[in-house]
Amino acid sequence: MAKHNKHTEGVTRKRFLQYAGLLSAMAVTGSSCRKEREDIIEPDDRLVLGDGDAGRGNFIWAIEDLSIQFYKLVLENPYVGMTATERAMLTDIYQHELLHREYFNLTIVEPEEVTEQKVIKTFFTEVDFTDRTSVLTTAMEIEDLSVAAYNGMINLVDTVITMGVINKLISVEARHAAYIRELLYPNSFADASAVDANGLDKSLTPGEVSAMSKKYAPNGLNTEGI
Amino acid sequence: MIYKLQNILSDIDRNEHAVADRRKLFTKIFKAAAISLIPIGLSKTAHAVTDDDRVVDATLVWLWQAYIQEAFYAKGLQEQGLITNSNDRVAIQMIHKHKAGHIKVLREIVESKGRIPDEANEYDFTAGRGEGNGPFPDVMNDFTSFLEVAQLLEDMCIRHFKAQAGNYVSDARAIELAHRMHTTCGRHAAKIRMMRIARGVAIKPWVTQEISGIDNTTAKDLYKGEKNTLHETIQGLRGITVVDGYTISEDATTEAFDEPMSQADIIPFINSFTVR
Repeated sequence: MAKHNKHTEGVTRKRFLQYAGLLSAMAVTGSSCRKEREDIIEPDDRLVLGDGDAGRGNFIWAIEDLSIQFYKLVLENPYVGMTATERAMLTDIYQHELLHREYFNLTIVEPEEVTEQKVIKTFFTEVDFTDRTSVLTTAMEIEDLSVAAYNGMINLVDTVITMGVINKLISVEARHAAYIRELLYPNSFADASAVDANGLDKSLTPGEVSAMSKKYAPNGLNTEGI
Repeated sequence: MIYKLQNILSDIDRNEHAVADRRKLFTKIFKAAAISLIPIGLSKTAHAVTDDDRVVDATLVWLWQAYIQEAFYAKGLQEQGLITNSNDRVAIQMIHKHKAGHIKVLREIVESKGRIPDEANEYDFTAGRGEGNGPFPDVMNDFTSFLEVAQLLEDMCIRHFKAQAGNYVSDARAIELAHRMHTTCGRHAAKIRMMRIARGVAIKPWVTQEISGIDNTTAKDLYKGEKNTLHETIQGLRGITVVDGYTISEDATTEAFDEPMSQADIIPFINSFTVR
């Protein structure tokens, strides 16, 4: 830890400055509120992803982390009737997602921008972890969302290395999606709810992904800098 | 998080010049990666290779593969007694429809660059280069063999695009379309693999090590390199085996990423299915 102090301090200072900026903004808002109550700005609880490469890296990280948090709960609380094969495959998926997330830390230009700040706060309150259909439906939604998120952000990536890693994992996310879908409904692997008549998988902008992920991460993501 | 990351990067993060050093390294890798992504040169043009040439070259090879796949599934669906189970037929019909869609999209990308797309050839699904005596002689008589070829074609398509993605960077629309077709192929590959798993083949929906569950050299060659566990990062090639104190199984480290295969390595497979 000691030898990294310089960086850690640098980041801390930067975060402090952001925080201080936020406080002063709030102070300004506070003073104006006394005059006009309707000017109150709701505090923005969204996860701040940042701008450019760092923002994109954080966005991907958050999406992978959402999957990881979910599969961790699934494996810790197996649904009724989980077969040994299903457990093995879900464990595979969990491990793949862990690797995907970690590699992103190593592809963005400014790794020091990657901090605890982007840990996505999830609430899987709608999921009944004892119920196979409830769990697998959520898994399906998360896998489909991951695929669409990568497809929708590939245009925004401007480094070959980040693109290379996305490119190597995106088909694995699609394999996951197909597997989970088949566990739920035979022949849904690439049905019209996932793939259009020309054989094109879905594509969502970061803003759309944030809106859709609100079901599990209600605070949302500030994707504006991406 | 940052602390953990910096452990990984400890050799580089020792001093305050770390960021500058890393940027230099990044630039170096960026250039190297960009060069390695230039295709072997399908363009028969005399002028220097342009961005549009790169898009067209990558798309044409993909189009050749899509023609093979479309014709393969179409023929399979026509063969009496080959795909008898109704669920299997629905799956193959769905995949076939997507391949026809991909042909449309791929041709349109080529045409958008002012070039004329190649037309389909005749194909030898035994992978016998037109002799009809390749390693899959029963491909249209035996559904087990048909699914083996289907898996090879789907996984081949995935590997090919991975080596070509960098050639699409000049065209925002094409690169998105390419990725959206590519993930559909990932879904197809997983489904075909699940159909084989249901028939007792010891594989997974994802590619473990270099295991294909197909016992011939064609398959062996196609999966070469799939067990790679080192991936390009801004620090160079890195392997990750432990995350948050959790040790990832060796199999999972090979499965988490599908690996690129160069055009030079893919073209012999395409040729083996093509009648000259």
